[in-house]
Amino acid sequence: MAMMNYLGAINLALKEEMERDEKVFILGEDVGKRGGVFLATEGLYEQFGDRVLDTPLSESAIAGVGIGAAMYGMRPVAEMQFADFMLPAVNQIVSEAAKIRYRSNNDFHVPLTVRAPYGGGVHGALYHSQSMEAMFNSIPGLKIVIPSSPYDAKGLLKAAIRDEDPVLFFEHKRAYRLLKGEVPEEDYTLPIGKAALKQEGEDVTVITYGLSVHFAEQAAKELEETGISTHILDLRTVYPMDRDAIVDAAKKTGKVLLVTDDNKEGSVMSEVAAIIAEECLFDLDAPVERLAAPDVPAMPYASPLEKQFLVTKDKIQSAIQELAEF
Amino acid sequence: MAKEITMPQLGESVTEGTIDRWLVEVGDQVNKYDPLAEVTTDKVNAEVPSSFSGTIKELVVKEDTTVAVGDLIAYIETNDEEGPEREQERENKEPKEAPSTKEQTGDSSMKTRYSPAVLALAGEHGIDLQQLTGTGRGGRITRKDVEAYVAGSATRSAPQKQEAKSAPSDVSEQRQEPQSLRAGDERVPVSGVRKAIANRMTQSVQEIPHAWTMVEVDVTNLVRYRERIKGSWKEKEAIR
Repeated sequence: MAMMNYLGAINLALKEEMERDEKVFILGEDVGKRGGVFLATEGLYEQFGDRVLDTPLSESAIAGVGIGAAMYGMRPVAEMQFADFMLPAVNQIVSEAAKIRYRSNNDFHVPLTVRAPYGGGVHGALYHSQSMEAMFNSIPGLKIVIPSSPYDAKGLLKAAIRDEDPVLFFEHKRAYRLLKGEVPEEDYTLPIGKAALKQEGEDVTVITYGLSVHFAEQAAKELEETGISTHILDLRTVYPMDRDAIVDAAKKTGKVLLVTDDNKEGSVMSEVAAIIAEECLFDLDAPVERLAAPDVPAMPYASPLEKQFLVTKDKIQSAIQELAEF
Repeated sequence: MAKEITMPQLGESVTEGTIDRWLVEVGDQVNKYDPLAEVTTDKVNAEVPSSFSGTIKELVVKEDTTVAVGDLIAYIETNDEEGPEREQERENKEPKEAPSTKEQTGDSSMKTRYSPAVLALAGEHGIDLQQLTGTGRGGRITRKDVEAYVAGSATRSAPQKQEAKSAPSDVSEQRQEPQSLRAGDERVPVSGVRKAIANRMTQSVQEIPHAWTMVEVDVTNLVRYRERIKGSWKEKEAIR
C-alpha cells in the first residue's frame, strides 16, 4: 500500500491498464508530452510512445475517434480536458456511443472510457467548474462513474477501461490534490453500478457522491461529538443507479439528505429523491431534502461568491443537524 | 471594541497550524503588523502579524495547540468608532439563539403531525400516539421516539436518552487525562517539522523495499595470527 492522492491513483490505473492490455490507448488534448493539464497522464507518453495521442482541439473528434477505435476492438481512454468542453462531443456520446450496441443488434459495442475533470472550488469560474453528470444521467447505454477517494478512483477507472460499454468517468478537479489515501499497488477493480456504504449511522442518512462524500464524512465526524450519528452512502456510479442501496440507506433512518455540488434542479439527486418517493413512503420520518449549488447560470469567479456557491462541510453539517432535530 | 484574530493560511495546501509561542500577553499594546505569535506548520515556521492596532484582550488558543486555518486565536481591543454598531449586532445575535431552545421545551405545534414512518409503526404495534412525548421540533413524535417506546417503557427511555447525550462529553473529558504518565515522565508535543519527519519516515518504511545481506566469517585464525606476530611487530616498530 502506498499513500497517494486522487491524481496519482488515476495515473497509476492508466499505467497499469496500458501495461496489461496493449489495446488500451489514450487520446486527448495535451495528454502526450505535456502529460495533461492536471498531469493525469504524466510519464505515459515516455513509457508507451504513440499509444498516447495528442489530438486537435476538437472534442467531437476525440469522442468520435474513440468510438470508431472501440468498435474495431481497441480500448480507448479519451480525455476531455475539462468536463465543460464535452458539449461539442454530446452528439457522438449520446447518439452514437450509447446506442451502437442496440442499433447493431449486438454486432458492435463501444468499450470506450471518457475521462473528464469536473466541479468547482479552484477559481475555474464559468468554463472550468461545471458538473456535467446530470446532462447524461438519463441516457440508457451510458454508465457514469464518479469516484470519491484515491482507492475508488484506481479501482473504478480500471473497471471502466475493462467495461465492454461506454463509461463516462468524472474526476473532481479539486479532489486531485486534496484527497489522499492508501492505494494498493497491486491490481484490483471495483464494481461499476454499486454504491458504497461509507459509515453506519442512526439519525440521518446522507446520500452523495464525488468530493461531497469527503465533506459529508468531515461533517459527520464533528456531529458525532454532539450525539448525532450519520449514515453515509456514496453512489460511486450515478447512472445506472444502485436502487437497492439507495432504498436501504433511506429506510435506515427515515431522514434523508441528498447532497450534490451540481445545480439543484434536475440534478442526479432529483432522481434519487424520486426513487425514495417510490419505494420508501412508509419509512420516511421527514421530508427528503436536497442540498446543492444554487440555480444560477455559473460558478462565480470571486472567492466569497464561489464559496457561497459551493457545497461545503459547514453547509452539510447544518443541514444534517436540522434534519436530526426535525 | 474587540476584534478577532484568526489563524492565517500559511501556504496553499496548509490546513492547520500550531501556535508555538505567544509573543504578546494580555494587556499588551500592539500596532498593526506587529508579530503576535510564532506558528509552525509542516511546511513553514512563521509569525502571525496583528491585523489591527490595539490592546490584547484575550489569547484564545494556548501554546502548542494546533488549530485549523481560519479558527479564532485571539481578541484585540481597538478604539474604533464602529463599536456600538457591532455590539448591537451581537445583541441581535444572542437572542436569536435563545428562542430555538425555548421552542423545544414549550412549543407543541407539531405534536399531532405524524410522519408516514410514525403512523406505520404505530399501526403495526397498536400504539396510541397520544401516550408518547415527542423529542422532535415542535414536540413532533419522531420515528426514533416510537421505536424507543416499542423497545421498552417510554418513561424509562426518556431519561436514558438524556444520559446518552451527556455521555460523549464525559468520554472526551476522560480522554484528556494522561493515561500512564509516571513520575519523571514529560509530555513533549510534536512540532510541525517532527510531524513531517515522522510522516516521511513511515512513508519510506512502507514504500521503499527494504533489503539487506549478511556474510558470516570465522576469524579465529586471523586472531591467532595477530596474537602470534603482535610481539615481534611491537618490538620492531618500537611501540609500547
